[in-house]
Amino acid sequence: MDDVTEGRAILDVRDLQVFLPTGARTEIEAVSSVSLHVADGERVGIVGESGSGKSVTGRAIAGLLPTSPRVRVNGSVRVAGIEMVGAGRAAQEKVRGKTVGMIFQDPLTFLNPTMKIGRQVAESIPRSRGGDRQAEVQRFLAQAGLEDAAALARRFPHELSGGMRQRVLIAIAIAKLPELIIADEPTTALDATVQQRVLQTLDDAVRTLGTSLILISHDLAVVAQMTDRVYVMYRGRVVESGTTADVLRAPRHPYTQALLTSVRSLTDDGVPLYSIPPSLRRSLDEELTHAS
Amino acid sequence: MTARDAIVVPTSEEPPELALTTPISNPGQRRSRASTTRAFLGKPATIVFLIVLAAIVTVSFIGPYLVGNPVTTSHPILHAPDLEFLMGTDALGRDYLARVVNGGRISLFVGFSVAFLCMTIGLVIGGLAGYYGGFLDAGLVKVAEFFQVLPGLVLALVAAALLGSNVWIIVAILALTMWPAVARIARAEAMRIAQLGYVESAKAAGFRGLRIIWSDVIPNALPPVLVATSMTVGRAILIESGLAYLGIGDANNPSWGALLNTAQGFMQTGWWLAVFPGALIFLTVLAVNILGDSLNDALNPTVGRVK
Amino acid sequence: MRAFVVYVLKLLLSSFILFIAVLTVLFFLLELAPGDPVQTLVGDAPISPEFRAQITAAYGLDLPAWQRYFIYIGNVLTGNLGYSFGTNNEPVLDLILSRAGNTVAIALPAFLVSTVGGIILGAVAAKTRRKWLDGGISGITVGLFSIPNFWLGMLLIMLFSLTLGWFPSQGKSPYGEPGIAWQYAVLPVITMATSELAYKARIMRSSMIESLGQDFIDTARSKGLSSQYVLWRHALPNALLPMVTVAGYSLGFLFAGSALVESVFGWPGMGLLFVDAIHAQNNMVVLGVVIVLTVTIIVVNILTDIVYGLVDPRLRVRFTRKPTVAAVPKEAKA
Repeated sequence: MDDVTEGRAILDVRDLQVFLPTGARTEIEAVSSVSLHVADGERVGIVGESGSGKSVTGRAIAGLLPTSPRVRVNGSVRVAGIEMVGAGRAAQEKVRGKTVGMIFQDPLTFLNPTMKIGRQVAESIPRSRGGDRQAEVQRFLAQAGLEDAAALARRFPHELSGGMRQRVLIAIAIAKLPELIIADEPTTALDATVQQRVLQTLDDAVRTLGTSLILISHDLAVVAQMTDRVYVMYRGRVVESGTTADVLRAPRHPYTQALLTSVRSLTDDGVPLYSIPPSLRRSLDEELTHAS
Repeated sequence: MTARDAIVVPTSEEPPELALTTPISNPGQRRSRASTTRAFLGKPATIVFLIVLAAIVTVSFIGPYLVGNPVTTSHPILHAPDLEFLMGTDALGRDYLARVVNGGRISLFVGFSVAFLCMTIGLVIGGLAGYYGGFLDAGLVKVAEFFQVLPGLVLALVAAALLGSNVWIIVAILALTMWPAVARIARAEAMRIAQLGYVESAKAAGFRGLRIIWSDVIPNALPPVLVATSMTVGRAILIESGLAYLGIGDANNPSWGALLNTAQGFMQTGWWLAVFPGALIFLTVLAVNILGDSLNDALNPTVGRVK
Repeated sequence: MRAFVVYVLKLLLSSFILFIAVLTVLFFLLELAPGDPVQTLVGDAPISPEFRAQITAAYGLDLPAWQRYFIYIGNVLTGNLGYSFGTNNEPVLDLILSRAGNTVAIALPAFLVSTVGGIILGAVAAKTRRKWLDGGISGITVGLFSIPNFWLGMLLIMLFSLTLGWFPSQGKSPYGEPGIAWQYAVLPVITMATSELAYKARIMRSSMIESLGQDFIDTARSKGLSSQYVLWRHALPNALLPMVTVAGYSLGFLFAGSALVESVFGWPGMGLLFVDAIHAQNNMVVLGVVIVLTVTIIVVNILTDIVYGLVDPRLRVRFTRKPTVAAVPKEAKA
């Protein structure tokens, strides 16, 4: 199921497995044996419905799972050659500080309401880089598409609109000049009109920096627009992968096919409304349980 | 599909109960009664303090018939505790154990009646206020502010000074000062439920507000209200014993606080006079508070929220 | 700035209405008091007919209820809280103010100790990974929270005063000496602070846990910031916000609870004055203390609301920035 691509892999994930606690004595296997890789400068999408484990995968790569000792991670996650699974806190913080940037979904809750914007962006700039921090902050805010960056830096998150806040999150991610950006549903919380513009900004920023990108989304259109390759996840597993064009045009796995049909039934005329039938889910679940 | 569907280790959920007033829907994500009860009883601290509380209540209501006479003054004066007088004797030669045992009734009575009144009044008014909003709601907020500015102890003291120190007056005043806190919790629940989508459709379908309140708001508000009420018991007992300590109360039936009032003068010569009644107040309030905490934990499980 | 002034004015107005409401309730209680209204005001002391006539005139006791009400409100608002009949007929307000300082002398340190201690304890309990520490602190706080404060005072006296002799047990200074000797204040302050400290620690703990569970903590972590930094600079400031309100509102309770603590230690403050007046049926003083207490609590609450409005950026911005559209930066066109 894996495609082989040339180029240095900025990210190499093998057999990732994540257990999350769900109750006092219960847990769930949110991710079971996921393998993927991202080459230098590549843009890769992870697509799936809610609960498929795509967000958990993204967080596991960045090392941002909950710090409870009941969270268990197995397998290997190599970021720029550095192993993250089982690495000490200092090592992980170093990687997060310089190499991997993450853009989250809901900018209102993901920004500190009591801290000024400028400071929140400045925190992302590694100390070692030196130089005039204020100027840097404004440069990244501008690069994220925000006008009047100097005034903006003095404001608090609640004073900005949703789209602007999301751009701040983008600025935070690019400020550290990372090699890999993971964007977890970056536009889901935004209005449709704002979505396109923010995506465009993200596109420009990634291109300018030459960063690799992992775009996690349940929205096939967004993934189609922004990525070269895509992984389709269902219930904690990768069920299909390939170039975005291939997968979306000629899906091989029944789940991907069903997914595409249901999307088209919403957007295209004349296609009857379709949702993934329980029978398909059942056979998929059986197939996947046997596969482990 | 959510995480719930994919639970690896199964929990034994009971089939949903059919109450007499079947809720129109079940909007709460609360656990089933069985797992809540199990969570509540699961901690050793809970069981211990349940026993402690039960023991205190039993002793307070049955004990008086079993111990000696609390009023006869024929025993040696200020006798330290020993095998014959388990809690010693007081300055008038009375059996202190008997006095302490008799002292529980009033405190417990006040504590639980106040809590009961607060719960019923708070639930009803809070539920109505939260659901209907408007004047009732604004009024409730104002009343809550009022009692926040005039602390219960102070108001009770003034009332006792002017109107006499009758148990019922004390219960009434304390209930009056404490019901707003409970009502606010009920109000929050009612507001939450009132704006749920299904309520709109229920109203459109013709269900009357009162019916919705009875079948949905109140059952869902009950758990947090219960927790708040349990806190009320402790506070009421503390205030009542404070009042008794200051001399407000029935001189012939001294509650624990009143015993402490007399004990004040004998701190040097009779340590047991102060220690035992106070310890009992402490244990009772502690038990109630710990049970309230366990109840809270059982009803609001917070899973893996540590980041 | 204008929004801020409006905010404060609204606070003052609603507080004033609250105050009048309290006075009304007190008046109501006075009316309900059984027996001779003159005796109610004067207490047990026997009085001459001329005096009785004087009182009746001064308080309008022969007038209909609603007129009495306005006389009463008018008196209070002009600072006339009546006269203390039990003692040497001082004006009640003066009597109260002379004792208020003593209460503040123990309430303020108790406030500081309980707030600082509560914050530290709560923060430690919330962030620690060692379950025994968190559980231990939680257990201790529940315990301290459940102790009747006057009993705690008695225990402290029995242990530290009578047995160990470290601190004196009664009064505020050696007999006959003016002012306050600090050794006399230690036990009362501890007694007052303990219960409040436990309460604040519990609140701080849950505030901190909630703050640590917020999404923006994830963003902070994603910047590679150390967990210490995230704790101190992101989680803690947000957790402290609700504590401002809690601390402010607790000051009122401290003053109210002083009645019990001062009784245990014989500390000559407002609380003891209150209790003595109740026993002596000196009801003018009783009401006077309640009124002064209410005013104090209202003032403290107003200050708390103002401070909170300035400290929370979400509110502060609303007050200090001009709400013109042009001032809000625009998003760049795509």
